[in-house]
Amino acid sequence: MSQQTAPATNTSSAPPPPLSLPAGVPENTTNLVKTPQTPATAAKPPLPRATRATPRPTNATSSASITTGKRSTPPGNQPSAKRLHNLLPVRPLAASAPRENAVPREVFLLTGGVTLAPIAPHLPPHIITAKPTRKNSWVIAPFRNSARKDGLTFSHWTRVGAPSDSAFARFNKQIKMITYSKEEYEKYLKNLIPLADAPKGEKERPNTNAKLPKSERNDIHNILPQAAWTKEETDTLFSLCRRFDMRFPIVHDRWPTSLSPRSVDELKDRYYSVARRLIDVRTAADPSYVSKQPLAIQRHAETIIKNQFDYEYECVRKNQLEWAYRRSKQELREEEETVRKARRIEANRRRIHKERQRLAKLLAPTPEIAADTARQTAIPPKLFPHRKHTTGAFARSTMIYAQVSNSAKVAKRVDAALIELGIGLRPTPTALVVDNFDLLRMDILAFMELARTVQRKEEEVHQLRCKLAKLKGDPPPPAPPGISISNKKRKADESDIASLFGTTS
Amino acid sequence: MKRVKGVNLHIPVVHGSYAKHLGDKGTESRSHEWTVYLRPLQAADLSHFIKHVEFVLHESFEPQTRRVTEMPYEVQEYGWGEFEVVIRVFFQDPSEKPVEFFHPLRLFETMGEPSPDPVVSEHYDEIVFQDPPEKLHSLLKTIPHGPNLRIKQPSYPISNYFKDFSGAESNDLRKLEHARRTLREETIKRQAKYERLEEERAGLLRQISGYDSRAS
Repeated sequence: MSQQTAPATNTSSAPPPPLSLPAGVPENTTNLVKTPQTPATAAKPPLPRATRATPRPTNATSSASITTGKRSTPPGNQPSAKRLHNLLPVRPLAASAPRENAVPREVFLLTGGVTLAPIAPHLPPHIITAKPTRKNSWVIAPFRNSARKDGLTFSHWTRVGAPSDSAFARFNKQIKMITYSKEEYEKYLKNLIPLADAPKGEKERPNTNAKLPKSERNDIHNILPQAAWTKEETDTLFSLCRRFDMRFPIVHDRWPTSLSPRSVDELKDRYYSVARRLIDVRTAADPSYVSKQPLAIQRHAETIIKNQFDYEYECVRKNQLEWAYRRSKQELREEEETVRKARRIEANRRRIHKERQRLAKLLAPTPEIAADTARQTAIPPKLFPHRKHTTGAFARSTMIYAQVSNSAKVAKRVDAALIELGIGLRPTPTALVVDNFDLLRMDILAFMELARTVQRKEEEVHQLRCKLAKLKGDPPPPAPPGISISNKKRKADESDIASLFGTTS
Repeated sequence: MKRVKGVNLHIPVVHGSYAKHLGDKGTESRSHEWTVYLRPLQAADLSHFIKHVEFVLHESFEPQTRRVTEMPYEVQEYGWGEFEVVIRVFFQDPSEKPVEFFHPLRLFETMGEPSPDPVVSEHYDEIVFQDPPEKLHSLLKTIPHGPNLRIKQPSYPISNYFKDFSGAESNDLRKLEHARRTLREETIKRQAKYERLEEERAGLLRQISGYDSRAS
């Protein structure tokens, strides 16, 4: 807008607007032109601001200011300035006494008489009117697009000496495809069975429902049997593939209605099986067939041979995806719940298995201790996981001090057991003694674990005894020594005993 | 430094201490005269492969660390309390790290009145060399030893009090074997008990399920 108002400076009689119009301020030009406000009305003492605001038309745009600028309004009549002042908190100029560089009183009060610099930059006239210095090098020239086959010629503005071919022609990439001749079609492709109906056995398909009869399986997974392909269909498929760069969804979309309808997967299946058959046949005739082809075809052929398109699998996959997509929130929740349950069951099973293994180890018959321990040497070092076997010098006694367990509590109990067994914590540290000492400590650890397991089992059996006694109506059996029952259970038992005593006494 | 792989040598040593109550001659803080030492089990010149031995005493002693470069490796001091002395052995080959022993200094008999006899406390230990460096290996192979070797024993004439460790190993092994047998019997007993409990549990479960089915 600032530039648009700039021509106003050419009409030197009109002072520059004291404030440039803010963008988007509506200005009614029609009103301005048709009913110019008389000086008398403009000179009226200003009304209170709220009432003064005239209803502003909304359809006018900011471009109206162009008109304002270009129209050299008489200096005595400045409706635009007046309107502007209506909008701004500035007292309007007295229209009858135009003053050069008049500063409104309020502005004067604010600025202290310093004239406001116009916000719109004033471009010097010589810049605005300057002619381009460079010689015009643009011409209208005819051009062709080499992507077009019809050689249609258009003209466009272009630099002198620009190439006559369209700059966009290079984007016209033509897909390279494997094609077939009529003879080849008759010979190899006419009776090509769609992959989905080909006899099984050549390839394992990751199909989960392999045990089901085929028709049933196909129903479940929405696998539709394919109708036999005609030459017309195949030709259409190949031409559409070429036209749409083998984007099969588009090919499917443009599939002519005159032909029998085909699904995207059927189209893919047909294309890939034909291409595969062609490559097979041609490679059989000439082993270096593929390597003679352009690079794009080579890659394409390699991909086709390496990854067979599996129509059936593709149907199943899409069906499953569709099914997964259409699940309701509730089904989703149920499924998550099932997964969680399965995970829990699995964890439980693993835990039980581990427990069983541990028990089996504990309950394995203990080997007879060699009568002559002095001969027992060369104990595998892996028996003592707590010890670091390093190179270098060390005092043998450090092997005895090494803790048998990482847990301080367990190590303490092992020490107590050693003292109880009359060994003490500091036997003579010779190699043999150290080895036997370690064996003993491992035995103690195993024994402690066994003792704990037995105790747990005893607790369990005791609880079962109590349960059975309750069922029979007998008094609960006394707890075996050293068996602790959970607090709640103990309380219940005590109350039972109390009631029992109550009835007997 | 190159190590001789697969070689495991050990040198039997004894770290010990003897202490004498000074009686009237001593003061409250110097009631005992004691000596802590490191000696070979049998007469042998340890200085052949040991560069020096450091004795780290209680922090109240000045200086706290005593370095002894010649046999006998001993430190004599006066004191009133027992503590653990760290004996650090440095080898002639500096590439091998030092070995530490921990000797609990004893001044008092475990029971009874102080006697004129010194209180001797000795512990057998071994310096084990796993894959020793080549230089150290050659030194260890040529340690002068034997009854004819004249080496300085700890200065105090207490050779009579030296503990005889000849039967200690077999004695300990016997004890260890006995302990393992005891433990094995105990383990078999517990295993039998477990089997019994397991059977009882199965029986109880059967009975309970019988009751349950009758109830339902």
